[in-house]
Amino acid sequence: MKTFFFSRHIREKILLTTLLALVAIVWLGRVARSARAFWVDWRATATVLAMQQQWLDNRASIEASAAKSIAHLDPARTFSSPRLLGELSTIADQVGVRNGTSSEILETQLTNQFSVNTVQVAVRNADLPSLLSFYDELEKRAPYIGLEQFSLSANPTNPSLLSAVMRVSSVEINR
Amino acid sequence: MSLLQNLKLSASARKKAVLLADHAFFLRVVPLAAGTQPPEIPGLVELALEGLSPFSVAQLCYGYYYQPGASRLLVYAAYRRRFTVEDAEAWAEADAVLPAFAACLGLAPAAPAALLVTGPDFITAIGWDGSDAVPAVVRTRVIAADAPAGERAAVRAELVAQLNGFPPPVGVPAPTESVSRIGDSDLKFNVGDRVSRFDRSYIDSIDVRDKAELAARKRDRARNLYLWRAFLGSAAGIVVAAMVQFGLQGGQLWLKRQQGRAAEQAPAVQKIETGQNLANRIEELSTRRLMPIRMMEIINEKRPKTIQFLRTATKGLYVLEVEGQTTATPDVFNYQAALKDLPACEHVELGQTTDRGGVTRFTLTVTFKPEALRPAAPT
Repeated sequence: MKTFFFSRHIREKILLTTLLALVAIVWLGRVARSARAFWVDWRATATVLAMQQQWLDNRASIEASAAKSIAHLDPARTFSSPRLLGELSTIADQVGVRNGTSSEILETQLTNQFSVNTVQVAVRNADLPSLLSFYDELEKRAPYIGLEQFSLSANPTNPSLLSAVMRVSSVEINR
Repeated sequence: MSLLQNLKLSASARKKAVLLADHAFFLRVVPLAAGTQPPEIPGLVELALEGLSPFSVAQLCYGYYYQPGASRLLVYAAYRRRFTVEDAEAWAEADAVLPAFAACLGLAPAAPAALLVTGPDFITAIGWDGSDAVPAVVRTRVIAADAPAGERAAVRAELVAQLNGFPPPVGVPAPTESVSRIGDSDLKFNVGDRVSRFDRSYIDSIDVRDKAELAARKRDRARNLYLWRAFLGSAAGIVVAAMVQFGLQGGQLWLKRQQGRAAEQAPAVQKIETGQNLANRIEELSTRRLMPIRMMEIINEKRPKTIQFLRTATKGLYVLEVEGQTTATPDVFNYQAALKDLPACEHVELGQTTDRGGVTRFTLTVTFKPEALRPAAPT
């Protein structure tokens, strides 16, 4: 190769070198872009796998901790979604806000041991004592029923009437 | 490189060396003072030539052979006009132009040795004393190509006599071509069964062409070398690119397997993650309760009578966002300051405040200290 190259005329040498350099630059450029993309994908996949492995490694302790977190709960007092809706309706009846109350199941998250049900309940145009009673009744059912979000607004035309929107969760033990 | 390999080199692949008849040159071995440095040598050569030749240096084709540390220097020169214009044109394409005997100087034997180099119309005797790479004796005689054997023997005997004190001379035919490949940095000649080699740094000094022309050729060689290196670098780049691409293809297969593994594990992991999150939520339900009424009671204590709450909403366990209105704007800032002073409040931030028709509407975001909202123990 060296003999071939040195025996060429100077113009041929320059042409050959330029062509080869161009091919090398273009190819290396493309390879570099592919390598960078590969590196990014590899890093992302490695991170995902590492995190997954961490979860899998901790499966036993997480399950144990989950079991511990529900150990003090009485399965008979836990609420499924329909039971939760029923319980909220009962409370509304008890405090006298049944007519202005609406409930909606938002989500249910399941594990092998338990599930957590989330419901949005809205009490409209109620007076403050009724709302406080509703809140107190919810409090009494803790930790089986818990309040996660609460908003309260006054009726613009009659400020003595209030509307509350609550996100309520219940625990259900699957046994 | 073995002799066999040298012989296998095609003429087009060889470096082109023009080997001139020895008898065209006058030769002198010039002793050097101890400690002479290599950079001084070209000047000493020109001085020696001026003393030895009736012609000016510019009118001579000359070369010299010297090795660092040598105690002598071999100078050879020929009157430029002894060579025709056609000769000079033929030299332009050559890698080296030198007398035939000079091609043997690269042997530089470590022990005393002598050579009788026989060319078509000359015989040259070279004697090395073993103490120096530069020969101690070099003599050449012209002899007609068709000279009778007796005359040839007489010339030979005369030259052998000149090599008195040296081992018996070995007769070798004068080299006629180089055995170096184009692109090799050195220059080699077959001398009998041995190889005479000149390092790149000596090639210009043994060459008899015009020194300015040689300098230009040296620049050309340097440029060619740069081009060759760029060529090699580019070729190496292509090889690297090919290898990386090949490696990447293998890597992609491996990566796909890993991604498949991650996708396979994802549902199981998701389940564990959900379990953990739900366990945390249950823990929160049991230990940390959202207490919006208590939050409102706390902030209501300092509420000026001019301020009305329009809407309150919790954000997480310890933050309450309050929208309110008042007809007394300064009360908003007073209220914020009063809330800041409450021991239960960690942070109070006044958000958007608008004033329309004498009614100021505002938003306050109050962050409570967790200990202020601690629930009673669960029953």
